[in-house]
Amino acid sequence: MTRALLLLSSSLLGFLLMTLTQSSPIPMTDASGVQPIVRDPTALRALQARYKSLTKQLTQLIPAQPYILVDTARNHLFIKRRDRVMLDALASTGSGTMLDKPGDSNSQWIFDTPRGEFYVQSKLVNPVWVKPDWAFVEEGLAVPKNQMDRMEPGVLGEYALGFGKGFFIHGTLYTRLLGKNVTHGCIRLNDDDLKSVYQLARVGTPIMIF
Amino acid sequence: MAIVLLLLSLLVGCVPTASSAELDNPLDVDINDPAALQEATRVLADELKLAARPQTYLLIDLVSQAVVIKARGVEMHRLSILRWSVESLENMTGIFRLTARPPIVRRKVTPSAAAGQDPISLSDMPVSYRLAFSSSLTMEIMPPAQQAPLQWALSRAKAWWRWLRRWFQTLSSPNVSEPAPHILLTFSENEAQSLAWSLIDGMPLVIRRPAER
Repeated sequence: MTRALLLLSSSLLGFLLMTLTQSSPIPMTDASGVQPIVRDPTALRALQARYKSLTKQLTQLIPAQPYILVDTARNHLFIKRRDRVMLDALASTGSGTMLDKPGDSNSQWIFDTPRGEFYVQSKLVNPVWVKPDWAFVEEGLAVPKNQMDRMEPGVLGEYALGFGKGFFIHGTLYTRLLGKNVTHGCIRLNDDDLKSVYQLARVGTPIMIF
Repeated sequence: MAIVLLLLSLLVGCVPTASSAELDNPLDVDINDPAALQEATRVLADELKLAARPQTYLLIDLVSQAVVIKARGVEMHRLSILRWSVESLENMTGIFRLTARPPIVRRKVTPSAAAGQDPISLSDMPVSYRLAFSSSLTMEIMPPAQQAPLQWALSRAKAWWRWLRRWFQTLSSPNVSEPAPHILLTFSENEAQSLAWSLIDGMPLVIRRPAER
């Protein structure tokens, strides 16, 4: 009986403690798992110097030149230099849908805009879209054997910036769909924003996508 | 004239920009607080390893109550944490990597009917989910208690049960191993969905813990 009461009371105490520790700092004296808390002034100065040095190293990794930032959840493309926003453009990014590959129901195309860090690899003027297989399959058409049958000029706008594996930042005829996730992975912009991106970005400009 | 130009250029050089001032102290730490500074230095050293590679990573800052999505040291997006609680805080050091996240329910495109099909949007993302990281960190994402009282109560009960089991284990064997770190983050619905959207397999994570005052 006494043991049961002890168990119950300690359990209640535990529950109370856990509820109280929500969003509250938990003491970490000598519990950082790295090293004990620094107490003497010399060690503190050394720690301050290390913090400054690490900060400097981190700062050096931040691109000094303009970089492209793409928010695929809210469909915005930004050009930033350090923390300064040079361009905020409404975009369209990947739809996240999938399409079965013909003759293989276990294999699909997934229309996501890739997330991570990339670089501008190519800058094209008046690009011609070389339609990939999925574009024909999606329309219910047979995939052509002749390469010339894949060419479609005028649908990507005046410029295109490639960032690898067939993904591009390009223009669109469907400007009413900007702000929505509708593409097959590419990033679409309106003509004016596309021109600004083309002018501001160079081959090698970082593209960060999340 | 040349002297005026020289002075002007020197002045321009001396005026700190907003970003450079901000980056003097990226974690906004009190540099005279040894415990806070020690933790911030540890986090910065880990972040430096992540920022040196072309990848996106997460910084969970329990001090400023935010999850920051970053790449190359650049803050790409910041999500506000409403509440948090942790178990085994002392084991939350180092770099963790995402190993399991909620599955994405993707819609299939029917050939020749593509125009009528809805894409995935932020609203399709879950508001409550569990993430697993190597090595052995689990993270629970929850909406606020007012929005999901049952879920919140269940989560508290689970935490209580874990605590109770640990307590029994400690009683029965004094050499019981350290419990795996666990973190519960409460976000608004939109922020929880934003986080789910931005996660990618293998995504690295660093946690900044609050220091003793």
